[in-house]
Amino acid sequence: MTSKISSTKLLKEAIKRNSAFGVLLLVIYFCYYPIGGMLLLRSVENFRDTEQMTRELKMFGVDNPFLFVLTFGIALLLGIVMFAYLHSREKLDFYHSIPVRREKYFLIQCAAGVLLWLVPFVGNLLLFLLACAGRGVDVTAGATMGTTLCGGLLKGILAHAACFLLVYFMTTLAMMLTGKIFAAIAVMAVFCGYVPAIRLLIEVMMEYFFATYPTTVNLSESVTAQCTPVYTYIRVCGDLMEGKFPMDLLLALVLISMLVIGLCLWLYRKRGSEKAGKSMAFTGFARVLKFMLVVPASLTSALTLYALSENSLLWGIVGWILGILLVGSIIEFVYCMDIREVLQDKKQIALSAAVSLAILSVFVFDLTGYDSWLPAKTEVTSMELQNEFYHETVQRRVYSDHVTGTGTHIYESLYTESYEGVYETSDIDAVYDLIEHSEHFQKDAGSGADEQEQSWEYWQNYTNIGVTYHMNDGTQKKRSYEVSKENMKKYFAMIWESEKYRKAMYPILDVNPKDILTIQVARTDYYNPFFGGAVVETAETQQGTEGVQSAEEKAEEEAMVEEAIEMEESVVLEPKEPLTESEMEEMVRTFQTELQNEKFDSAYSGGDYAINIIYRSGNTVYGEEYTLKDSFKETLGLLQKYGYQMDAE
Amino acid sequence: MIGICNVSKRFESIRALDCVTADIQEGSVYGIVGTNGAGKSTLLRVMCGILKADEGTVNIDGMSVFENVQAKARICFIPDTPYYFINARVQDMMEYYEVIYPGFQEERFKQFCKKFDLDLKRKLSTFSKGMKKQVSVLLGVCSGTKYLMCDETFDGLDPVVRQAVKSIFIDEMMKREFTPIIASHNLREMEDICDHVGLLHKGGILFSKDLEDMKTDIHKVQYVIMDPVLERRLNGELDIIKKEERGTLSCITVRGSKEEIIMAVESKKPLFYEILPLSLEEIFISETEVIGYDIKNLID
Repeated sequence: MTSKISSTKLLKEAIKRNSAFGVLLLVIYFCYYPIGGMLLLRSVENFRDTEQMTRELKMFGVDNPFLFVLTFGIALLLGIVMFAYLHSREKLDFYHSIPVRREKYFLIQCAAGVLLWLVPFVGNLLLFLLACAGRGVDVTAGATMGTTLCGGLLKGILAHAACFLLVYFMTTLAMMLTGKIFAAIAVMAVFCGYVPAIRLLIEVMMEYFFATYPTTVNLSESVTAQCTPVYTYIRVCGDLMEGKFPMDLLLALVLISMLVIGLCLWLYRKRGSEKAGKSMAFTGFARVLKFMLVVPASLTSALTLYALSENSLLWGIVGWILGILLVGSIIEFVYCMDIREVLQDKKQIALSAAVSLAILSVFVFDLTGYDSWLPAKTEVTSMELQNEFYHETVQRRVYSDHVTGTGTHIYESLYTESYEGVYETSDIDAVYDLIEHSEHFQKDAGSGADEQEQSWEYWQNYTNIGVTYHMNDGTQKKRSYEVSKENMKKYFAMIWESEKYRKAMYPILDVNPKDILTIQVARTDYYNPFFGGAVVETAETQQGTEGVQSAEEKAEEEAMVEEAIEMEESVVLEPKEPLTESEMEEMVRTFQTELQNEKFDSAYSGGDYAINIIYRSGNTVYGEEYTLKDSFKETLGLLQKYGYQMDAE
Repeated sequence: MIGICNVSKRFESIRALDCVTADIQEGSVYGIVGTNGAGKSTLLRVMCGILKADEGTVNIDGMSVFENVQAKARICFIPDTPYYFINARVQDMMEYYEVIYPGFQEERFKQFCKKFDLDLKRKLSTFSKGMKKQVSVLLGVCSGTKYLMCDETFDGLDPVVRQAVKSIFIDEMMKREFTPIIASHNLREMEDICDHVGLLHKGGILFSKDLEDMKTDIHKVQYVIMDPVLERRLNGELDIIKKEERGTLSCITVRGSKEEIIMAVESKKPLFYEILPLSLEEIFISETEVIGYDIKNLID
């Protein structure tokens, strides 16, 4: 007797057995899509702008955080539900005794889980699309297929599917590695948070123990901090909301998912049926996982007590011991559920203690010489210098350029780009002079962190500079140094006043005044005066599009212009007459000259007014905001000349 | 034939099976007996391909069983605690078995259910423990597989159902190639159904013998011989495994053919003698005592 059991029948049976979950999802998505969608349609069908309506509907349909949270939760739950049989001896005995290969059964469970989510999701999304079409929404309107509602929803489905697969398969892996549900959830939490947590711990330790560690690192941009499915969901959702389709990321997610499922299959072959009911299915993995958790936990507790006790080494050791014993015992208890056995693995306790102690020693005693490192000048090709204190951080915004039927330009602020000015120089002697006169190298020995007074008074007299060493071997090394303001004046002023440094810090200096679109001036006592508003620039000549506009469209645009003008008038100062192009050019040129020639002594001075210069660079419209310092007399004079009400509130 | 060759299985530090070797012939009812923890369930689970043996092999009709679909298609396993899907009715399980076992006898199953008064439409979660066992046995029998592995199957069944199940087994064996393998800790339960019994103790098989062979080779005789010299002579002539005396009445368990034993007893002019039936338990006690085990501690 041979057996060739149909996969389709098995799949059908698997879905049938979990149909309750499928029905629940069907109800959830039905309430959201066709029902919620109809309500939404009532509010958006009055939108005149098809593009905006499509955007709103896409946002509701696929591009919103709620749906991504839902997808994450469902993937997690389905991963647990579909592979719960791995944790039950009765179920395993049953499924492993039937004449079906384990791998085949496993893959059928995988497929059933995916279908249980995909069918209700896509089915109800299609109903929503039909509802849109039924209410007269042109679901195929758009410049390209991707910009239509159909295309947008399809892209959204793909994005959700890739995200779903990642979490679903990772949960499957967690279920495979464990024999109890709570252990699987704990392992999943490790998958989601371990790498970013380690990255954060390293960051905190580097920052705490090494005085020269640059604190400018943006953790959210660090690759290691992004090694979590949570980040991928945030990123994919964010991209979709911004109208981008992160194809590369989605392909990477699918690839990773395939690797994870491959790993699951391989592990399934190794996993004995007797592992059901045990917390961890693989002893080796359990040991490694415990080690990987105990070491950072002990470092964290040691650092916490060390910091709370104002750098008492004794308290640091107490924290280290507590971390090793407490966390190790908790994990061991989870593994064996027997309080008497929590300290039985003495070899591993000793190994974890030794490794964490070694790591702590590296940081506390700077065994790698991180802080004392200063390369020979001959090893350095060039250097980058950053100092945020002695120059204004440029707020560079990106604007949309909307031209109305009457030719009026409305520049709407979209988002702020971070502009980090970088000054790179091969004149390393000047930078070395500055570094050698930093507090760190002025002190005799030891890490500066525990010696420095990190108080407000301290920072009144000291400032931080960031240095990037471009080494001869092509590598880059970053350090941060604290320099007294006195030494800054002595060794930094010359660099600061140089043309190259100023151009690197202030991108406006490289802008051709002919590219200026408009200028805004506001008092600096308003918080973010130029943020979020729209700038209206009336055209001198009417555009030829007026004739094709309907009366309704015209009224809508007028309302939009009025609204923008109202917003602008509330904070922004106006000249007597709108500035001509040549006046704007003169104004910007004057400002550029004064900014270029600014002296170090006035670097820390303030001003009552700020200027926002909006210009076109390529296809993008930027706006840069600067304080008009009191020393910028000529620029301020021009503002008065053009009738800006400089005394107005 | 199921060939078990030097099978060993460990669960961490516990050695559940230790070099078990046995052959299970087709067309017989094989009983695996032993105390709790002797390794019966483990052996069955290894034989079904649920567990992978650390050492040794299990072959089903010459095919290795682990992850071998063809070999597994010849086996149906009835665990001590049967597993049913959540909210499943008897019919749901029947349908699933139909998918899994192409030789499943649907009509026969329905007839059995009727006979045992099991409602096909009723949820299994509302069944008693014994009824659930009945369903699992019927599903197993109707799966149409050549071998049926039963783990403590009769435990929990009432005597009537137990007898009925035994009848079904015999009926199946008459009709088709069918070999039930029954693991139990209760010797009395297996007495009237097993043809062959293997005694498992501490992960190893103490012995595996045909019941009929054992019954023809061992006998229990009760007698009264007034002459002590003649009685001593009788004791010397026979291969006595065990002897009990109550006054002048003696009871001996003897190895040898019935005819030879009767001839020897009669020649000693007994006042009275009779051949008593031997229970499976007594046969086991006798057999294991020979190899140095006190069986009373090994079986319930």
